[in-house]
This record gives sequence, C-alpha cells and structure tokens, in this order.
Amino acid sequence: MKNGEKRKLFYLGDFAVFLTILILAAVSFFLVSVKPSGGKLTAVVTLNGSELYRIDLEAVAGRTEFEISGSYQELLVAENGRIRFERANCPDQICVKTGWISRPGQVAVCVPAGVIVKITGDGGGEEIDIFLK
Amino acid sequence: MKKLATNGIFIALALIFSYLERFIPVEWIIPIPGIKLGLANIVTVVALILIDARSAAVITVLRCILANILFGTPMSMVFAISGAILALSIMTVLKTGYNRIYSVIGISAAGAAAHNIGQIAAAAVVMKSSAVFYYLPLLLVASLITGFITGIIAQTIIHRLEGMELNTNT
Repeated sequence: MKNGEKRKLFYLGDFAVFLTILILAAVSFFLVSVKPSGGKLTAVVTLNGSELYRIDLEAVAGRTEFEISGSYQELLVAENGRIRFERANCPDQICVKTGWISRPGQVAVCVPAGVIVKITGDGGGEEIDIFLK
Repeated sequence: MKKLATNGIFIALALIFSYLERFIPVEWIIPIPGIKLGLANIVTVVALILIDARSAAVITVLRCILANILFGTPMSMVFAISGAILALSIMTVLKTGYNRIYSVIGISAAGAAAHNIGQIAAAAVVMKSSAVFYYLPLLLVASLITGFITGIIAQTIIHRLEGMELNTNT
C-alpha cells in the first residue's frame, strides 16, 4: 500500500473474531463446569487413559502419598478433601504449580507424564475407601 | 527475493522466536498446560500475508518440527503441529477478507484460538481423556490476549516490509 494511504487498524470482522473466541470460551466453560451431582468427593487418577487410583478424598485420614512411575516419577499427596502433585521430575512442572485441587470438576494434569487427576462428586460405592487398581 | 531464500530466513526467524519464548515462561505465572505467548506465530502471520499460504504452512510446520526436536518432546511436537494445522487453516480462510473484513490482529487472534483448540484436541487423543478440555476456556481467553499482542507486532512488521517483494521467484 502506498504511503499516505490510510489503513484501518481494525475491521468489523476483527470484532466478530474476538466475540466468537469469547463465546467459545463461555460455552466451553459452561460445558466443563457441569458438576457431577452428589456422591463422595473422589479423585480419579489416570495414566495414559487407564485408571491408577480412585481416592475417596473424604475418607483420607491425614497425609496420604501415591507414587506414580510412568515415563516420569511423580508423587501425589492427598489430604482431607484435597489432592495435589507434590513432586514430579517432568520438564515443565506445571502439574506441581497447579497446586491443590478440591472442588468437583477440577483437574490437575501432567501432560509430559500422561497423568490426569480429576475430582468427581460421585465416588461410587461406600464399601471401598481407597481402591487401587 | 527468491521464495526459497525467503522461506529459509522465515524458518530461522521463527526458530529464534521459539527459542526466545523459552525465556518468557507464561506457565510459571498461570500454570495451565499449553499456555504460551506464541511469538513464532508472528512469523506465520507475516508469511501468510506477505508471501502466501503455502509458504506460511511450510515455514510453520518445519518450525514446529525443528523447535520440538531442539527444545521439546515427541509429544509436544504432535500438539504443536496439530495446533498449527488448525491455526493455518482458519487464518488462510480469514486472509481472503484481509484489509476488507479482517485486519492482521483479527487473523492472528483467530489463529491463536484455533491453535489452542487443536493442541487440546490432540492432547485429549494422546492422553485418552477429555479431562484436558477443562483448560480450554482459560486457554481461549489467553489466546485472545496473546493473539492480539502478536497480531499488533505482525501488523507493524507487515507495514514495514510491504515494499519488499518477498513472494516472487525472480
């Protein structure tokens, strides 16, 4: 474009893009925040899609450790009503920095290790406190 | 300038941006898997506007491969390429309305959002769990901000470079 010719910084379509992104964010937020109804507060730990632990967070007495040895070594710590990645030797440490999670629907992920901790509200049967697979 | 030489320069530049970005660890402040500034996207956007979609695709995919060989993992390479393909597709479509309907900033923001959707989808497939979509809302909001910032930078660069004939083969 020649010098002196005026060019707009924004066009109408730009605002449509910004609005679309915000709407997608709002819709996806709504979809992921649908809480599981009732039941016990349970942390489900999976490694590459297969379940490792199903931890009843209401039944955990004091500090309980769970070790995970996949492609990386990780230490999960559960306390009454909450859980976190305490240590991991993964490269990005995002899982450790995520900190404690305690509400149904919350997720802590270690992408390099393929580990996902998800809190659900329906813990299933009362007969099993800590179910190890 | 010959297109091959231009593409080479752009890949080198994109790699430098990928390297520099390692010193701006956004995930230390906001610990979300996949969050980043997306500085290398500046190069993709500039190439898309000033050269063509094919060069932008070549530059971006090669940058994803090289950057992840140097600084990443095979898994991060899969995420990056998945995000890049979706981002390139949407930005190529929006480019048809460049300077009429969309500016570089809108195109860049759309690319950033598409990149995050693509990489989360890839993560869900690799990790065999839809739980990673938990981070999508935050990543989308983040992409609006980062796409806006990188879009402004790309726009400035495009205005400066527009006189150069980057897309000729002679």
